[in-house]
Amino acid sequence: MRKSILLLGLLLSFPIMAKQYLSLDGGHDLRGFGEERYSVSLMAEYGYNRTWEHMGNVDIYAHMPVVKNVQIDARMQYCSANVLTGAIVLRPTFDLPVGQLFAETEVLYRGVLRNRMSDFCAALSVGWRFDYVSVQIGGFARVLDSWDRDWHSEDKYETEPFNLLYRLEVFCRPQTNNWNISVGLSNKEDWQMERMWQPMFLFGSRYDIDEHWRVHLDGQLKITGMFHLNATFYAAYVRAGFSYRF
Amino acid sequence: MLSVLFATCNPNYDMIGMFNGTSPEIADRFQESLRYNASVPVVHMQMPEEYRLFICTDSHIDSTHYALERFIRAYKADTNPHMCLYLGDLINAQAHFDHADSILHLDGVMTSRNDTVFMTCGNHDIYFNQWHIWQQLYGSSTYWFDTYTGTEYKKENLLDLYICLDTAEGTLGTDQMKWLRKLLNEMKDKGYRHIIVFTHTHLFKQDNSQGHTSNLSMEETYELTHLLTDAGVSCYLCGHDHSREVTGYGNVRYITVDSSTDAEPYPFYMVMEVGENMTYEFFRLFD
Repeated sequence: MRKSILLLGLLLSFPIMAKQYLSLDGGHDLRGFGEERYSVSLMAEYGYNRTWEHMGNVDIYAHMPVVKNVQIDARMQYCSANVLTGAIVLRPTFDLPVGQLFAETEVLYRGVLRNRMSDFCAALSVGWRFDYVSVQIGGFARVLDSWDRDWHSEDKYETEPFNLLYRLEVFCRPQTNNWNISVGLSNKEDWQMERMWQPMFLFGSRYDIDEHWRVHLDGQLKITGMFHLNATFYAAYVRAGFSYRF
Repeated sequence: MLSVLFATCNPNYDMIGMFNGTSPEIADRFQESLRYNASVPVVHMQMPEEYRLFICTDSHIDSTHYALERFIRAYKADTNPHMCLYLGDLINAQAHFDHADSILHLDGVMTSRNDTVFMTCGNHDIYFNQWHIWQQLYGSSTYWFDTYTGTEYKKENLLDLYICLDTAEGTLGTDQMKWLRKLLNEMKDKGYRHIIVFTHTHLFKQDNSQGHTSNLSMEETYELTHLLTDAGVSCYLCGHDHSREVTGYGNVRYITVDSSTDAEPYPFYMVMEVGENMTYEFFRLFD
């Protein structure tokens, strides 16, 4: 019995002793660098959805590990469908014997210029990142408001107080590798938070050219009506770009 | 896991449809609806200036149809209803259209009055590739009609415009959105008293009452809410959620009507009084 306990203790402590992350994936996905150095990313994106049809987007990311185990991500997107999106994420992390626990506070603002309205989401979530799997769960609230709201009538804004937020991502390589590929299922991604019954399928990949440069290729597929049991294609996005680590 | 396993084994759920709908997709259904619309004249309903509108949704007919029958009897017995809107999910799964449809055409002494029902299709109606049955029975899932008063259909006599949309897959699709945009643009200055849009799927998700059913995507929610507000639409009527919800965005009132299925302990329907103002009331089908 005593031997078993000792063996179990040794097994649990082994990853701490053996593993030293050199080049991590960013937080729980592949963007940025998880280690404690600043980085910026620039991505170009082609997208299509059935409402806005074809569009081209430019995405900018900043990854800022402000102190040890606390990261701030900031990102901004201009979409040629006339939509501006910005988000800030505060992410404390907690190293565990197995994997890394993280918590995220995210605010996402989508200025839908074409429809003169805004979509504001605030999310709280927790996640657990292993080498090959990342899981994240939480909730978010949404406020939809028109920029032309008449304050002297019954004109209203819309609130959705609680939506479940989830993300499951599977990676094919450990984080220390110089390349990685992932597939995921989530109702949130960098530029949008969807209702809980509207999942998105995600694809991500990265390759580290050297210590400073990393290239990315990502994709997203949104199928609407899955939980109507009448699924049909709605949207797809492909984005490519690079990250620079300072 | 157990609920997924249960759903997979349940013959009422079209599980293939979770990955690819078994009926023709929205672009094809919309084109078929337009072809049907072109083959029949546009409906202009003659009305008194104030009239009553009966609204029912989500009967999910399986083997029984008590609630729907009660609704139709209430509709036919009323003195000033003129028409009824049915907001989709008439049947639950497959092989029930015959007897569900027979209820909508209740015969007997009341057949000659209050016999107009405007239908839209819901996701359950097109499970198991049943769109063509639905279409054979009801013709079109995307159309418009209007009401007028007096003896002649002319601009001065116009009352209200009704627009039916097909959202059975949780999307309007590209072509239907363009059609709606063009229609509202043409109609918004014609002098209609109210514009009422009715469909199956609700736009907002204020709570978790809806179970595992989905809304329209966010991009479509932005576009549609803006379009309806901009065109001066008075009311967006829908079902799908099974729970009542009345909310507003812009100056549009969004009303989700309770389901009228026999499986619910308290099935409801809605009656709307349409005049210069619109008021509504919900009625319980079983005590």
